[in-house]
Amino acid sequence: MLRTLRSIMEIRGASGANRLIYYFRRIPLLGRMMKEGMYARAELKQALTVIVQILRVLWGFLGKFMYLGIVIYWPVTAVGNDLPPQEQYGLYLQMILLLSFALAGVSSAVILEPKLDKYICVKLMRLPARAYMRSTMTLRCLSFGIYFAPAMMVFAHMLQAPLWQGALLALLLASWRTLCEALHLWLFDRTEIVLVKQTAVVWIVLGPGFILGAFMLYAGVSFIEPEWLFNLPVVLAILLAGGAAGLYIARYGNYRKAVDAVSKIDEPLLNMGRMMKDAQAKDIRSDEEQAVLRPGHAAYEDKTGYAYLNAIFFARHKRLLIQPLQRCLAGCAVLLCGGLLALALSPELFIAPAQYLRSGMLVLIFVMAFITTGEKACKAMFYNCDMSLLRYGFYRKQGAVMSNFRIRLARISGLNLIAAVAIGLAVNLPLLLSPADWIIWDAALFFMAVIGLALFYSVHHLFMYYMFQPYGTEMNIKNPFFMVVNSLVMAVGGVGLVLRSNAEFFAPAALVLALVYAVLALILVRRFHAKTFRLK
Amino acid sequence: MQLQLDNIRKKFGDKPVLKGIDYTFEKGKIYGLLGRNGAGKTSLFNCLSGEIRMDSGGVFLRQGDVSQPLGEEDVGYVFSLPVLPEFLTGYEFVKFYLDINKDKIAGARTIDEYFEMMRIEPEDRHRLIKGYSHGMKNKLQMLLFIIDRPPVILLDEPLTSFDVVVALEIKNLLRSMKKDHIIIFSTHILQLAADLCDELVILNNGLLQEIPSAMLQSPEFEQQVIEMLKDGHGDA
Ligand SMILES: Nc1ncnc2c1ncn2[C@@H]1O[C@H](COP(=O)(O)OP(=O)(O)O)[C@@H](O)[C@H]1O
Ligand SMILES: [Mg+2]
Repeated sequence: MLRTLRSIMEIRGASGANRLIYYFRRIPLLGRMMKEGMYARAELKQALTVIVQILRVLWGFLGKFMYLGIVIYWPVTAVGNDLPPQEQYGLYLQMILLLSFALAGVSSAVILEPKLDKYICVKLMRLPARAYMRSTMTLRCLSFGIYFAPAMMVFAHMLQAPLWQGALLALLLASWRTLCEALHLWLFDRTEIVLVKQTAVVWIVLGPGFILGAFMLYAGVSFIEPEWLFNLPVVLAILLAGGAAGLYIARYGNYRKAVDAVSKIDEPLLNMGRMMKDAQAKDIRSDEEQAVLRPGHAAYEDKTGYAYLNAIFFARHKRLLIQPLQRCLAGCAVLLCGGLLALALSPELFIAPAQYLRSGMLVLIFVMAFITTGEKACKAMFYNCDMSLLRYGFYRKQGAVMSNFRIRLARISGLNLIAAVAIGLAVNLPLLLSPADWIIWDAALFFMAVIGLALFYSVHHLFMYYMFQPYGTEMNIKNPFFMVVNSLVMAVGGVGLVLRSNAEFFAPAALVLALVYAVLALILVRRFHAKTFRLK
Repeated sequence: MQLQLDNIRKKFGDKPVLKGIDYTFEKGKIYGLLGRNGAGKTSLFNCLSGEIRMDSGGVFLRQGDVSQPLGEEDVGYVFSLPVLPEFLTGYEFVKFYLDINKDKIAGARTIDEYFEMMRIEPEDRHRLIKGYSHGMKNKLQMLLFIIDRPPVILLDEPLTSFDVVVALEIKNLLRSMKKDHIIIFSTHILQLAADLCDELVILNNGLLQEIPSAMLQSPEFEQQVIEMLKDGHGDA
């Protein structure tokens, strides 16, 4: 098994190293140092492979810290900062049980996950499916616990719980998730159902799960005591079940079928070419029925040049751009009706949420990130429009790029501002009418925040697109620099606003930040578009 | 008017494709750029059109005594594989192109007149470009340089994809335009080049060589060109 594991690690490392070289060569200045021939230089690749593997391990640990910190610890301490540490800890455990034990157990099993790695190792490199699966599953189950242990211990310590509980929790989680993997495999064996690919089922579980989580946070009460989890019978039961599950996975006979089921050549998650075509075909397809035009009749005849181009572009991508907005508006309408209904039934219901909203307006950062359109729009702009037009000299000229950028920014901001105003109305109207402590000034701050954020995300998506142009012409793989900058911006924004998170500061800050960003984006795009906004 | 290429070099990675191209193209002639597959014809055109940067060297447009670097707007470039924004109809694309070039266009033709010129049927004008055939897309691309009449026109392996009737039309069109333009078209098909062009240049081993006009008439012409190409290495 160790030999298999070694070859798998080598294959993973080598493809990681190739990617690293590929992107390194694209860094300005530094990239020149590395020549084309590097792909073939064995010693260098060996060294890089080792580096990649070290990075993977570091990332393994870091990722768990980030997950626990951002998704669980921070919200728990933010809403529960007036609770005693024991109750905060209870809340924290409760969230882990919900997210990591229950929800992830359904949605994030890897045993039947379609994965490029699986395809390369088993189908291309011809490792026996059984050996491959046994090795990777062993590695996964062990490393899962090991990666989680330090983070769990640190956060347990920060919540004034004993360190051993953190370590034990990591062990329990690893054991529990092994059990989940076994159950997924068992289900597949019986029914040929690959649960992780049943998107509808997964979301039926995740949706209510997230709502439950939000509710638990909002209520701020912990229903469970640490002793319920950390007592001998429970621990023993979970560990035994995990052990049995491990045995089942190790002795399972029909891995060939399990691998085949998720690594067919036409598996959309594996086949890059197909993946991109699909993305183009489904995700960002223009609305063709719209374009069945009467001969002699032409749309938007009153507009000219880039305004004309964009008017048609946005009109032919209604499904893609307007539909999410329509959904958002419908959601807001429902929210508003629900709010008014609740107002009629029991007005006191609004008192607590109003308070929470004032101190926690920050959640709008995530709400708006979810609601605003931008990323898909940029992708459609690239594949359906810029990818062809950028080949023409006139389209690359500064005037053209800038007027195009401005028009697009205006259009996307427009869409997102409509969504922002709708949310503002849906949330504020019932609050203002209710007896809750929520005055016009609060409503104004709320509007300022949503409008600022809508603008911010509009600029951000478009700016990232113009600066990093993350879509390749052949493969729809994201440029890692794009992702790094993206998460950096989010993190800086997040941290900056967490430090002073009262609405009086946050709302104007969001608006000012958005305006500054817009101006900055215009300047930078003007300055750098010739380098960045072209086909690569 | 002259198009002067001065020592153009281009490497892809470690592989030199253009190794110092020096040549002067004159207005009023159709040039055939002949080269084997992978000789670098498309790369040379991409350098001229500004789509990729050359490693060193320069391109100048000389009018009388004034010589200026060739700008992106001076070049009309017809790609060998037509790329057009497929979400537009042909009509919309031409309208867009007319709009953004309106200060450069002398004659006031209507959009439909342009389509007449290229013999694109009225019912096709209002269909999405996505549904166009290869030949129609190519015609649409050519329409662009007919509209804004840039001094330099580059055609990358154009006539290969046309049926005989259209090919003849295009040939006539190019001949009628040549007096005001520098027209270069690349091909790997010798007969096509010999048939349409006034001058032949060969791209071989990363360098441009002229074929003397006298040779164009000689009976051994084909044989000689093939000899010249054989020395070089194409893709192989
Ligand atoms: N973007 C690129 N990256 C790397 N190599 C390239 C690129 N474009 C062209 N080449 C190489 O340059 C050579 C010339 O290609 P090309 O100009 O397309 O030739 P032609 O058009 O004469 O057939 C080929 O060997 C090709 O592999
Ligand atoms: Mg070519």
